[in-house]
Amino acid sequence: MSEVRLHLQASAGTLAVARIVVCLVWLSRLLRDPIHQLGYLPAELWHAYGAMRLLPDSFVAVLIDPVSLSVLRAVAIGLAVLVILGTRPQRLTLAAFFAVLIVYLGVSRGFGGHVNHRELVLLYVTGLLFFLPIFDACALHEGQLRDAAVYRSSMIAICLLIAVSYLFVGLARATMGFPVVFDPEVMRGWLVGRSLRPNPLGIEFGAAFLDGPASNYLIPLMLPVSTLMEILAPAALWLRRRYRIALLIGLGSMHLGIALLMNIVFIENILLLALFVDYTPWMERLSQRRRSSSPPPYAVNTPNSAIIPRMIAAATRSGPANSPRSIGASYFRCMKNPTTSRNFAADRVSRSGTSSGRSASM
Amino acid sequence: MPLSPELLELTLRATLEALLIAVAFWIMLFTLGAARHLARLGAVRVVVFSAFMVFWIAVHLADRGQYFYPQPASFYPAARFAMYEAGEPRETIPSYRLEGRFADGSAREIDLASFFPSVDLASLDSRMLSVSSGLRSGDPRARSLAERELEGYVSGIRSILAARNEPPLVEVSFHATRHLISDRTLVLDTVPWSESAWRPGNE
Repeated sequence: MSEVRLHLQASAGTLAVARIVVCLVWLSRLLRDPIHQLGYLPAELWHAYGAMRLLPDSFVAVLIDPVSLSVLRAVAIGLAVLVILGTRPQRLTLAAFFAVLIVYLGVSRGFGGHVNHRELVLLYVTGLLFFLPIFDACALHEGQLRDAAVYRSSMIAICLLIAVSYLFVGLARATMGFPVVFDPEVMRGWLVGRSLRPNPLGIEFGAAFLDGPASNYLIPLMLPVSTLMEILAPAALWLRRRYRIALLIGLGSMHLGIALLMNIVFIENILLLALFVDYTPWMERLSQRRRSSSPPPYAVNTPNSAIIPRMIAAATRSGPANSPRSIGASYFRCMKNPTTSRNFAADRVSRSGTSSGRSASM
Repeated sequence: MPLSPELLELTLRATLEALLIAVAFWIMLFTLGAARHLARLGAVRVVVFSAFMVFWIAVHLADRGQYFYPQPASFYPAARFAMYEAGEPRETIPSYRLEGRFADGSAREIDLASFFPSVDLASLDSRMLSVSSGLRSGDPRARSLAERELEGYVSGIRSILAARNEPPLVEVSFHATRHLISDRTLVLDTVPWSESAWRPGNE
C-alpha cells in the first residue's frame, strides 16, 4: 500500500467533473435552503463567529433581512452556475463564490449555538479549487492543457482534504474520549437526546430503533466502528478499488445512520464521497458509446448541412485557443475526449498547430 | 499555577491528539508518498495547500471552546472537526420543548428546526440548551439574556407564520425537561418561560 491508487487515469475532464460535482452539491444545498427565514429573526440574536466579525455592523443590519438573504442566496446560486459553466473571469467568479459562501454559512451559523462543520469541508474544497486547473476542460472558456500528472495530483489533493476531515473527527474522539466515550450508555444517551426532537423528515426512526431489540446489539458497535472508519478514511487514497469502495460504503452508511437515528443530515459529505470513485473510465466508456451510437447533430442532406461542422472547424482552426468562437466547441470536445489530457493535447495541437512545452512533454 | 488532575489529563490527551495527527500526516505525506504527488502541483500551490493544512490543524487543536455558547473566540471559517468526542454514562438527559397554541385553537409542539432549517438542528439544540440553562440559573442577568433570546426566536416564528398566512401564535411556552435514558420517561418538566402577549392587530 505504498502508492496512491486513486484516479490513476485522471485527466483535465476528471478535474472538471470534480468542479461540477462540488458546485452541484452546493446547488443542492442552496436551492432547498430557505435562508431568508432567518431574516425574520432580530439581528441581536445573531452571533458573529470568526471572520464574520470583520463585517461592519451596518452591513450586518442590512444583511439580516428576508430580502437581503434572498439576494445573497440568488447570488450564490448564480455564481455556482457560472463556475459550472466556466465562463470568464473564471478565477474571479470562483473567488467571489467562495467569499459569498463564507458569508452565507456565517449567517446561518450565527443563529446557532456553535460552529458546526457540516458544510465546512465542502467550503474548503471550493477554496482549494481556486488553485487547481479546474477549467481546462468542460468549460466554455478552457485553459491550457497540462501534464496529466497535474490533474491527478489535483484530485489527490481534493480527496486528501476530504479524508483528513474524517481523520480529525476520529482522532479527536479516540484521544479525548477513550475509553469512557465508547461506553454503550453514552451513545444511547445521545440517541435518546436526538430522538426527543421532532424529526425534520417526519420519520421517527430514532425512537423506533431505541425501542427495538436490535439496539442492544448495535449501539455498542456504533461509535467504535464509526471512529475506526473515520481514522481509516485517508487510507481510501491507497486502498485497492474493492476495499476503497467498501470503506466509502461504510462512511456513507455512517452518515445515513446519523441522519436517520439522530436527525443530523450530512448529505453534502455523502455526495463528496463520490470524488473517491475512479469515474474517469466511466467517462471514457460513455464518450465511446456516444461516438459510436449518436447520429450526426445535423441533417446530412439539407442545404445548410455543412454549417455546424464549418463553425466547429472555424473555431478550432484559427484564432486563440479560447476565443469566443470556440465556445460552442468546448463542450463538444469535452464529451469527445474526456479521459486523457494526452488526447486533449493532441486535439489542441491539431487546432492551433502549436503545443505548449508542458503538454508536449507528456 | 498548579494543574488540576482534570486539566492535566486534558492536556495530556490534547498532546496525544496532536502527536497522532503529526504521525498520520507524516505517514500519508512521506511514507506513503502523497507529498510526491502534491509536489507536481507546483511550488505556489504546494505552499498554499501546506499553509492551509497547517492553519486548519492549528485551529483543530486550539478550538476547544467550540461547543460553548457564546463562543469567546472563533476561527470561522476554520473550525475544529470533532463531534461526540467526549461524554460519560448518566441516568438522565436534559432537553427542551417549545409548545404553542395557535389562533385556530390548535396546540402543538413547535419544531424550531423546521422554521429555521438553515441553522443546523445540532447547532440550534446547543443554543436552546444554553437558553434553558440561563432560564433556570439563579443569575438574573443570565435569565434576562435567555428570555430575550427566546422572545427573539418566537418573534421570528410569528413573522414567518404571518408571511405564510398561517394561524398566528396566541401563546407559547418553553419547557425545560429531563428524561430517563433507559426508557425516555419524562422525569422533569418545568416551564421557566411563557408568553401570551399576542393579540389580534398588534403584530
